Amino acid sequence: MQDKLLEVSNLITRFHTDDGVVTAVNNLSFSVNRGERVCIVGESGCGKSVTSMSIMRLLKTPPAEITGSIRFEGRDLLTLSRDEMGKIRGNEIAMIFQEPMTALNPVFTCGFQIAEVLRLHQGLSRAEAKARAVELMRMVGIPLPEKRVNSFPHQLSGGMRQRVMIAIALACQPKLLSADEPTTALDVTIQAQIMELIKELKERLNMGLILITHDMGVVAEMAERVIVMYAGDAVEEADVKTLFRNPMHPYTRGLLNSIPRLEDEREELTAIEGTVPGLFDMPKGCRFGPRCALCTERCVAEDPPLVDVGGNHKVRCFHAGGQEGAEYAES
Amino acid sequence: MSLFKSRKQKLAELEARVASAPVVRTPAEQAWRRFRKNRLAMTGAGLLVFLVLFVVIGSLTTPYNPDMVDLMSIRAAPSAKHLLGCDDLGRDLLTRLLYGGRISLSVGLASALLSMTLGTLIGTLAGYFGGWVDAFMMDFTDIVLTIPTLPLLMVVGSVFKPSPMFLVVMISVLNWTTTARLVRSRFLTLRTLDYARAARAIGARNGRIILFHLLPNSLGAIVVTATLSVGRSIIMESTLSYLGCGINPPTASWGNMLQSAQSTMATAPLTAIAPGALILLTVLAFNFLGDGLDDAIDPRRER
Repeated sequence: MQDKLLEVSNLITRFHTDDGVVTAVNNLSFSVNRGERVCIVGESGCGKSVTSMSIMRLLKTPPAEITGSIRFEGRDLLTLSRDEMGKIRGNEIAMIFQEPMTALNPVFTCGFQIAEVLRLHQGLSRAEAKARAVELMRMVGIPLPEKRVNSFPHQLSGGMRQRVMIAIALACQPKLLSADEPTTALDVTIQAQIMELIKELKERLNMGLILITHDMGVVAEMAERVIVMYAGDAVEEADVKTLFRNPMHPYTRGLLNSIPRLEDEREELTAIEGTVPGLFDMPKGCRFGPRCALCTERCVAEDPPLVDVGGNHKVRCFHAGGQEGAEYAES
Repeated sequence: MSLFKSRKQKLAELEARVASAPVVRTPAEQAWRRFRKNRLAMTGAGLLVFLVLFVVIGSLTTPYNPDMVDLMSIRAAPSAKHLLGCDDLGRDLLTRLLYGGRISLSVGLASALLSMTLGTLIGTLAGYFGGWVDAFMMDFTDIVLTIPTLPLLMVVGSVFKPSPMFLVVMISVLNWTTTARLVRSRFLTLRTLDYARAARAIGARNGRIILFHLLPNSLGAIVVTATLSVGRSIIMESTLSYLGCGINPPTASWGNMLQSAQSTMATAPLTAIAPGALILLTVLAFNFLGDGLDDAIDPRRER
């Protein structure tokens, strides 16, 4: 068995709001091996970002309440003190944010912000940290790093800013990198460059990677293992080839069907009917039930468990692999 | 990996490259450039430097004692001997202006600094931590705001015969509320922004996030309020001295000079015009300066 870097078990993240308690992540378990690329995919509001925030303990508690365990190299992050957690953040687990426009501090130069992590965790001097920042900026492919080190974020393009974010994240050579839709705010050509960069640096530094996305194309390109989330639940988990060849959960199939194909003659895009249920009115039983063509009485009455159907392929559906499932796949 | 490991050897080379990088302006240089471009702000700054030098050097070189009564030159007209003439007790007006300026300027500056510090501290804590801290601090601020400033200062002033130091504290204690509310509202927005979260994600703790990430982003607003409050403090000091509860005669301040000029205004108008003009100039200069500093501090204003 491979070496487990991060092991999340029974993670439940709830928010206590004025209108009641909402559950954003519902009993999620997964693990990331050293050097493995795991994608968490799902629609907006399915709890993917909350999951990554929970791992980093970036949610304010209260109103958030996190239970379960998040073991990183054997240590449960949820039981660490604030100071211990501070030493892990940015140093051993780093994060890339979705919006490079707002995640960089507008009043400091990019160089200063890269240098800050180094000074914080490695105790480098100002000059050392700055020289190292230049080096990192070169590593992430920023042209003229000696000049850009003194640029303010607003003087750089979106792609360059995201590269700065990556440089900040990688400065201390973390063991785990969590990227929350790192390319959503960028245009497509830049997106490909950034993804390529993340992949390449990940190999070079042998990091574990949690990539959060809603884009199946990105999943196909980046993931080794995929976790499909729906409304706070993991509904399917498999390695990327299995998932694309043999998707078992109706939701995963829906996601894959909604990717337009060139050879397809149809005019309209295939979409999954309906929307993600609101956090306040979660359906009983299977949460995907109301949008599912296969929904039966049992689906409404019972919450389907996440079952291993063999070969580390887990599905949360009563119909998985069954007759109806195959029919649905063909329709 | 090798890229990282060879850091030590590459350091010198890299530093050399950083040093020789093409036309780079450091952040401080960029800020100075922005400030210099703002003509009004430069005027304000120049005026202030001039006023301070004028007051300091002047008061050290004047041949007269500011409090010395000279019966022979009561209400003397401006002459070579007394450049601006004398007041109703025969004291040299220019000398009193210089000494009064020392008091007025330092009271103004000191109380602006003190109230800025107080206000920033309270606003920061309230805005960053929120919850009951915020509720408590803001209720306290509201209570201070409801205190009628002038009557209170007058009562305290007439009971205690205030020293300049005492005046500074009194003015600051009543003046920090604006800064506190401003800083709080800045922090309420700033703390929810991604870069505050990103700072936490790289392992920064509260203190560091406040000092290095949020405070610099509020600095523009704080500095502007502070410079405006220098003007306000000088006016407040003048008002109090004018009403007779601030700086006590015979010590000169621009405010109490205005007051004593009341009786001589008609015959020797300079006794009123000179301190009045100096107060006006100082307050204006600070307001101009604040405006320019706001532009200079914010790197996004670069064109």
